[in-house]
Amino acid sequence: MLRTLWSERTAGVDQGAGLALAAVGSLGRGECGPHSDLDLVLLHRGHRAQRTRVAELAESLWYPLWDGGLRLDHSVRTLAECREVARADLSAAVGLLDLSLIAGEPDLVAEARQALAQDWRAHARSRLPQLADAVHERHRRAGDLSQSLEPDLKEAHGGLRDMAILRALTAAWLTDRPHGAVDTAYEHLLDVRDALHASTGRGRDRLTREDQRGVAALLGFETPDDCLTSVLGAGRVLRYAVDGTLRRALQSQRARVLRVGPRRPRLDRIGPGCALHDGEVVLERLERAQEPGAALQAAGAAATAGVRLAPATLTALAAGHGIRVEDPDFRRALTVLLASGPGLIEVWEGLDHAGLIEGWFPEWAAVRSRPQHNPVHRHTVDRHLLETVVEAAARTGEVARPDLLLLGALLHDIGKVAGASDHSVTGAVLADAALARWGVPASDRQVVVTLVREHLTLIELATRRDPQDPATLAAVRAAVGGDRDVLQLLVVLTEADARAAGGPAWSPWRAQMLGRLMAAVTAVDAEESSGMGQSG
Amino acid sequence: MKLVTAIIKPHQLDDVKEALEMFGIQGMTVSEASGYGRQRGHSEVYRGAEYTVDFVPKARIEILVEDADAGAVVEVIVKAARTGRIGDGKVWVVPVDDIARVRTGERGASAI
Repeated sequence: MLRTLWSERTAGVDQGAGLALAAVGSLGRGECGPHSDLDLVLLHRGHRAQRTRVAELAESLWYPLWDGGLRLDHSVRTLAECREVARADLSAAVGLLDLSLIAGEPDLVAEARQALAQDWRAHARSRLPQLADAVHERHRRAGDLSQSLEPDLKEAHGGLRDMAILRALTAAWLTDRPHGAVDTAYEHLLDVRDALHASTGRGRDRLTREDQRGVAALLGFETPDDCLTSVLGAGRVLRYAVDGTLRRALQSQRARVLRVGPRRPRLDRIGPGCALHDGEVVLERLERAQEPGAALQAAGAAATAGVRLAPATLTALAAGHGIRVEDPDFRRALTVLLASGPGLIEVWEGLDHAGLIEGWFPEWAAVRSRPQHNPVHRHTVDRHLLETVVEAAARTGEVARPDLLLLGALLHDIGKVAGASDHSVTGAVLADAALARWGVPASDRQVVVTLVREHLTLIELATRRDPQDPATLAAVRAAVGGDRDVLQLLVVLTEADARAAGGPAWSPWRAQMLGRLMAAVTAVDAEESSGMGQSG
Repeated sequence: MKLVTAIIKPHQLDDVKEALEMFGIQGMTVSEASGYGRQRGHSEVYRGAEYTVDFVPKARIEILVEDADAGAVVEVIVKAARTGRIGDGKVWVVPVDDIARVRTGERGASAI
């Protein structure tokens, strides 16, 4: 359509007149959605005699597009003006890297592309901090796609715009970007964006709840949740890729600046066989990836230090021994990893992207990127499990068996799978199977299974039953089999679960309700102990 | 039109909700509340420490009703929320000048 318009409007103009119609943005990349904006640039050589003719041509091109109801971003520029705009405006510089010919003189567009790419490479290092700041600010503003029930497919962290950043970083020759799964995820988000445009008839980028059914039907998903899970999963892949690639680009800049002294990498040992290097944990020797236990030990060291495992290290670990439940140190190393604190989240994410989780924990696949529609929850099921582990890790001093508390936190919502009517009951069965596979002794397994099955019991009783009613206290005791240590584990898990879910789930009101219930239990226990003492 | 507000014990909420639904009330607002009445200042022991509870957790229910229903709704709430012990709560009724349903713009009693 644009080529036909160009041919009509430039009829009679010399082929060598130094004019071309070019596209940037999604149109320039050949990824335009059904209702995307058209980003067009009318390029010209800037000859003085040509100015009036160029202005007339521009008007004759833009007006039919406006009249046709298309959303148009347009500009008329010489090559020098393109370079000037790219120098002054970072987002324009990134966008102009996609400049591509629609019609007119191919050499003019090729020349512009080459000059803009050269400028980008020449100044990329000095502009990198500004680019990183802009990306982080956008991520902060638009949120995390992988954790949103109504994701912004374009601007969010892990959205389509992050692929433009990945391409810009590679175009600057600062670093390569991951391929394979990242390209697949990106294409999926493009498909979802196109389906969203098609089903709403508008150029929207936010996949709202009301649009999810239509998009799921167009893309052949059985349910809207299946569709949303796939979108959140794709966002997760892109988020991980852009974070890692940006970090790698910043590292390459530091390496270039810090040239004083020996050129050997600086390795600070932080655990058995692993070291801290440039803000990431690496293996001291590559052969260590073949050793049992190396992956979990390195992960535990990284998470405890609050840094990530280096991508090359993850690749080596995945290709090497991996994580196996048969390893003699498996359970202890898993406890160290789970107890590491907030650093667990990103390290686990790295392990999962490298394929190092599902081998020993296949139940994880069913909750990965699974959305939760309960208004108190702010995260997907998988992320909520990890957030609960982090919350529990901060309270291990309150329980006799921190290892069982952490396992309970990791598994408490593992039953939130498709088709489960009561996720606590389903979760108890799944948890029992996982714990048996991990070699957890039967008595400990029973405690963790109780935690999973009863993880909602205390808050339910506290908020809906009379704490002075003996039947309520009997229900508390029945839930934990009369075991005070298990009750204390359940109290701490209840709080960790609610805190991880989000603000409303752990209001001072709810905390007080649970406190009142536990005070009533404690009072009755004390009365009974005293009665037994007197009778004895 | 009247606004009926009730402060009740949280564990009585399910009973009150059920009774109101049986009566024909279709919508209500429930929120978490804390406060005290004549029972203030009692102490409780938890995790080995005794602490004084000034503000006791309560549930707050708000219901818009037509004038003719207000008395009966109060009765329903009182009956369902009563345990006979201190701290059962309060119910009060205030007049409402106007109501608007945001979605449709309906006004007055038809917006209840």
